[in-house]
Amino acid sequence: MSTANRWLTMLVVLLALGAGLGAALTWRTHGDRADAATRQERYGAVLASANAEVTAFVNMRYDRAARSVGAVASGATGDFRDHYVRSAPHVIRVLERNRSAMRGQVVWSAVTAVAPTRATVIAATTGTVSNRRTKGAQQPREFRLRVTLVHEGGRWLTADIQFVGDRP
Amino acid sequence: MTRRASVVLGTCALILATVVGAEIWYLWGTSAPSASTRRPVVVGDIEAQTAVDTAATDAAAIFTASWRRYDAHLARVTSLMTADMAARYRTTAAPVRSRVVSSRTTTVTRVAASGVVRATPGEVLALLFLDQRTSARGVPPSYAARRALVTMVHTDRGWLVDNVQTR
Repeated sequence: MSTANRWLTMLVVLLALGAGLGAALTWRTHGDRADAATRQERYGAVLASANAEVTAFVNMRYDRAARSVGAVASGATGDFRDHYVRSAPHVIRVLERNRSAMRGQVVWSAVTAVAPTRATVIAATTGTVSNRRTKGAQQPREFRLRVTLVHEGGRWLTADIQFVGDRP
Repeated sequence: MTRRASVVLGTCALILATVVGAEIWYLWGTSAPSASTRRPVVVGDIEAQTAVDTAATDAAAIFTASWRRYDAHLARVTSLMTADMAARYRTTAAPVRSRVVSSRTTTVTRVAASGVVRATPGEVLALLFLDQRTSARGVPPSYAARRALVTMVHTDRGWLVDNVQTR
């Protein structure tokens, strides 16, 4: 074997060792990054579901009462959904009797806690409400909500919505 | 034979060098993801929670003030802020001072809930629900349920308040 080939052989051996070490590091890093991406995308998915549910929750119209209630129910699950669906006829009657219309939107929302199957989000909303009592005039309504979500069937669904400290 | 071996060895070296280069690029050449709607939090849970907890503690301190120690309050809370935020805060606090002292106003703020809106290694947006109770001479005590979006930035002094929006 010539001297040049001896050097080339050494270089190939060194590069092979480097490539092997690099492959191990790359494999581990790829796994870590995939885990991080899954965790980070969970935040986005949780916020998107919570925002959609809260938006449905703060948009109720007497002339589209059944559709308004259905929009909330479609993103809900468990006892919260059962209770909501059970009380829907009463809610619809109240909305229609009072000619109530609530319009709103999510101003800010944030993740309080998140795990693979359960999450808590807080949401601040702004909007207006009008009914017979306001004589049809729109009055401002702002809410602070805490939303509990669970991961079921590949979707984040709302298991509970609570008002946060809305009274002194 | 020697020439053929040289070609084979040279080709192997070239392929392996390309593989090592690609591995180095993957490990150190790619930048960290930026925050987006799909991935609003691109830091670890503990890091984000630390910034949110700091935002909650600092906001409670900033919005809790007594007419008795207003100057001390101002000095203390501006140390929790970036230089820009501290300058803005001093500007808005100066005209408020005389009103607070003359009406003997005391405001106590408690954080009812907190969460992370968006987080990168250098900046975290925290949403806070603040319960504010205010007492002043001649008026009944009042309560306000506020919402605050606090921007925290990471500096060599740790997480500092860079902006506060309330609604």
